[in-house]
Order: sequence, then structure tokens, then C-alpha cells
Amino acid sequence: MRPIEKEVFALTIDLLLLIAMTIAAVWSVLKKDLVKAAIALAGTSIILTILMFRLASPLAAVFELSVCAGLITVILMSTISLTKPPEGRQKEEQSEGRVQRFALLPLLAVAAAVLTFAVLPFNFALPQAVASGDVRTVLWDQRQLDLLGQIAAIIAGVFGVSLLFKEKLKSAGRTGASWRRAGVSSTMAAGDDPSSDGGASSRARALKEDTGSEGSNEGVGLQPGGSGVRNNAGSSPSGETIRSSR
Amino acid sequence: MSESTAHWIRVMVVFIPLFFITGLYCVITTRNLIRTLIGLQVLSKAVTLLFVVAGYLTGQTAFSQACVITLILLEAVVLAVASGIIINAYWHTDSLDTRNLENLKG
Repeated sequence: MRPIEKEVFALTIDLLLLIAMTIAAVWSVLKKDLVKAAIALAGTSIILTILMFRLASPLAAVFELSVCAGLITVILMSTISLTKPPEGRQKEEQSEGRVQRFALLPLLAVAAAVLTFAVLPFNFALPQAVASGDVRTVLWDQRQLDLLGQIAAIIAGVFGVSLLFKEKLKSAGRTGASWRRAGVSSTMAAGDDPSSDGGASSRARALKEDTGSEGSNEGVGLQPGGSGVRNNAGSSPSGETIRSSR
Repeated sequence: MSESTAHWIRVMVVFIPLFFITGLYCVITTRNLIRTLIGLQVLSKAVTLLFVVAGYLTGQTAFSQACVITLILLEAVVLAVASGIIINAYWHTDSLDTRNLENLKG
């Protein structure tokens, strides 16, 4: 293969990779199923990694592959699994007018690309290419302030993740829908002081009332003697509603 | 400017705004909180690609890689914190719809 042919071949591969990345990115934005959208996003990251290797940035490519295609996909998946997809009316509300909302996307994207292509001059002078130093030297010696910021950001991220798991533990075994149902239909048990525990135990009892026998499996924070409370709550004519329905 | 460089500039000038607009449009129009995060990720991918191409074209790959590493790390941290916020919002409003986040309205 002659050098020119080789170059054209390489550019064609880059172009194909960019087109594939575009398809994956648009797919991740437009796909209705969030799990598939997250997988498409991981695909975008993988293609970007290949492009980075081809553009002489191997260290950044490794980071992109491990963090963006790996860690971020895991976080997204766990968020999707901790929440529940909308059902019934909620789903209808959310998807209504969805096609119309995204209808402008292709038009806008093509317009932006064409406009930028038309407006930008192509013979602008690039700075003279200089011999690039080692990335480790640049990162550790010249960009120390960046590293400090990164450390601060990592600490903030640790707090974020700990918050995520704290909430998960606190509310283990209750789904959002059952929580709401419990809130709407719950009644205060006689002699139950809501200020003492912020109403948490009464909510838990209401949940038990709501879910019946399944509640024994689900309610981590349930108090013993829940059946008595259930009777109480059932006999109460129309108790105070803890959470009002929207 | 070599033919390869000129080609790269042309290609990037088309594709990077395309990625950027896709992500931005998703963030603006979607009503699902998780999809907003996905849009944000697509947006930051466009910026990452821009950094890498700029480093390649100017020969400063070491500097651009240092910036990209910082960017990737911030991306991950933002996603982790935002996921925590989204899950909390889900427990409170029982939906992922942005229109239901109206506690501070008015």
C-alpha cells in the first residue's frame, strides 16, 4: 500500500468511527428504554476511546475507557435500577408529545454543523506544532492546581455516593409507589406521636397496612406488633393524611 | 497545513457541534431526570473530543491529555452526585419527571 492510499484508508476509518459515534450518541438520546440508552452511551465512550488512541492520546483513552465506559455506566445502571420506570398514566404523561419535542433535533444538528462549516475559515493558522512533553510531567509538574481541584472533586463525589447508599439503606425494601400509596392511605394510629420520630414509624405501619402480608418481608424499619397497629388504623374513621396526593 | 490536518479540521467542525447540539438538545427538551444525565454525558463527550483533536492538531497531546483526564474525572463526580440527588428526588416525588419537582415553585 502506497503512503497516500494508507492515509486515505486511515481517514476513512476515522470518518466511519465518527459516524458510528454519532449514531450511538443520537441513539442514547432518543432511545425510550433507559437501560438501552445507557448501553448506547457506553458504546459512544468505547468508540471515542478508539478515536483517542488514533489521535495519539493513549493515556486519556485509557481513562475514558475505564471511567466513562465502565464506572459511569455502572452508576447509571444502578440509578436506573434504584428508581422505577413510570407506569400507566405517568408513562403516558411523560411520553406525550415526545416525538414532537425531539423532531427539531436532526434539523438543528444539521443546521449547526452546516453553519459552523460555512462560517469558520479553513486556512486559519494553527500554532506551530511543538514537541510534546510527557503527559505525566505535564500533569504532575505543570498542572498541580488541577490536581488539587480533582482531589476536592473526588471528596465531593465520595459524599455524593455515600448519600446514594445511605438513602438506599434507609429506604430498603420500599418502592416509590408503595411509599406513596402508604402516604396517601395512611392514618395516624391512636396515641401515636408524629413529632417523636418524624412520623417515620407510622408511615412504616401504614406501609404494612397497605402491603398486607408482604410487608413483613419488605419493611426493614417495621416495629414489632404491627398487626395491632393495623387493627387500630383500620378502625380509625378517617385519620389525618400524612402526605397528600398530588 | 497538510492534507490530513485540513481533513481533520473539516471533519471535526462538522461532528463536534453535532455531538454538542445532540447533548444540549436532550438536556433542554427531556423530562426524565436520568435522560438529562445522559444528555450531559453526550455533551461532555463532544468537549473531550474537541480537546483531543486540538491537542493532536497543535502537537500538544500531553497538555490536552492532562485536561481530558481532569474533565473525565469531573464528569464521573458530577454523575455520581447527580445520581444521589436524582434518587433522593425520586423518593420524595415518586417520579423522575422534571415537572414534578415543584417544591420550590412560586
